[in-house]
Amino acid sequence: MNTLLLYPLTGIGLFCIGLYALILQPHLLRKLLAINIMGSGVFLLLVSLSLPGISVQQDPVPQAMVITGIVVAISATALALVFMIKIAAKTGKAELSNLEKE
Amino acid sequence: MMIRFVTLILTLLLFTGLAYSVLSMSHPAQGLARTVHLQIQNSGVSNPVTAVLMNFRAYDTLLEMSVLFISLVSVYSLSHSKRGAKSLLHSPVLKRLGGILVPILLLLAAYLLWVGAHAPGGAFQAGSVISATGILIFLSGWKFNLSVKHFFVRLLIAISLLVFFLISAGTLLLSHTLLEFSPTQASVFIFLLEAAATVSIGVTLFNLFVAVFSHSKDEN
Repeated sequence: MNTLLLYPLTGIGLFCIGLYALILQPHLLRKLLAINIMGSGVFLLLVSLSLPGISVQQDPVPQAMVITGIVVAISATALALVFMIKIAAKTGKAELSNLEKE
Repeated sequence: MMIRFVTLILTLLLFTGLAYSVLSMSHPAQGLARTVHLQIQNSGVSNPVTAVLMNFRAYDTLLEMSVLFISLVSVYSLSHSKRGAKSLLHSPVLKRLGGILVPILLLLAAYLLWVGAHAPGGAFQAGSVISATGILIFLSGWKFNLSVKHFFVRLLIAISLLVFFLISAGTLLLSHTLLEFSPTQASVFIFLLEAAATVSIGVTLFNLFVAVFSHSKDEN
C-alpha cells in the first residue's frame, strides 16, 4: 500500500472518531470538540488528496478550500460556544439528557 | 451499552465505506491542478493557492467573509454584556513579553500578506496572526479599547466585505462579469482584497474571542 494513503485514511479515521463522540457524549462542549475533530479529519482528507503522489501534481484548489474552511470552522465554533454558555446559564448544565442512564 | 455498541458498529462501517471509496479512487487523480496551472499567468499572482482564493474562486472568499461577519454579528446579538471585557491574567512576564512580541508579530503579519502573492502565505494567515496579537495584548491586561461599539472598529470588521462589494460592482458594471479581473489589473485588485481581508479577519477573530471570553465570565 502506498504510504501516501496513510494521510487520507487518518483523515477518515478522525472523522469517524469525531462522529462517534458526537453521538455518544452528552456534554455540549465535548460535542463541539467532536465536531471540530470531524472538521480536522475532513481538512486532512482534502489536503492529502491534493498531494503530488495522489494527484498528478500539487492541486491548489482543495488547499484554498481548506484555508477557507478553517476560518469558517473557527467562527462557527465561537458561535456554538456562545450558544453553549447561554444554555448553561438557562438550565444550569451544559448537557443533553443521557438516554443511556435513564 | 446497547447504543454504544450500535454506534461503534455503524461508525466502523462508515469508516470502511469511506476508506474503500478513497482507496478505489483512480490514482493519480486528475484534479484541477492542470487548469490552474494553465491560467496562472492571467491571475496576477504566482502563488496558485492565492490565485484560486482571490481570483478563480473569489466568489467563495466573498461568501466566506460574509460568514465571518454574520457569525460575529450573531455572537454580539446574543450578548447583553454592559461592562467591557476585562482580562484576568495579570502577569508581569506576559506584559513584558507582549511588549517585545507585538511589533514582531505585526511585522510578521505584514510579511505574510506580502509573501502570499508568490509563496505560501496570504490574507488568512496574516489575519490569524493579527488576531493572535490582539489576544496576546488582551490577555496580558493592557488597557486598550477595541470594543465593537466604536465606529472605527465596526468599519475595520466590515471593510473586507465593503471592498469586495465595491470591486464586484465595479467588475460587474465594466465587464458584465462578477469578480472577473483583467490580467493586467488583477494583481492590484488582489492586493486590495487581500489587505482588506487581512484586517477584517484579524479584527473579527479577535472580537469573537473577546466576546466568548467575556461571555463565559459574565455567566459564571
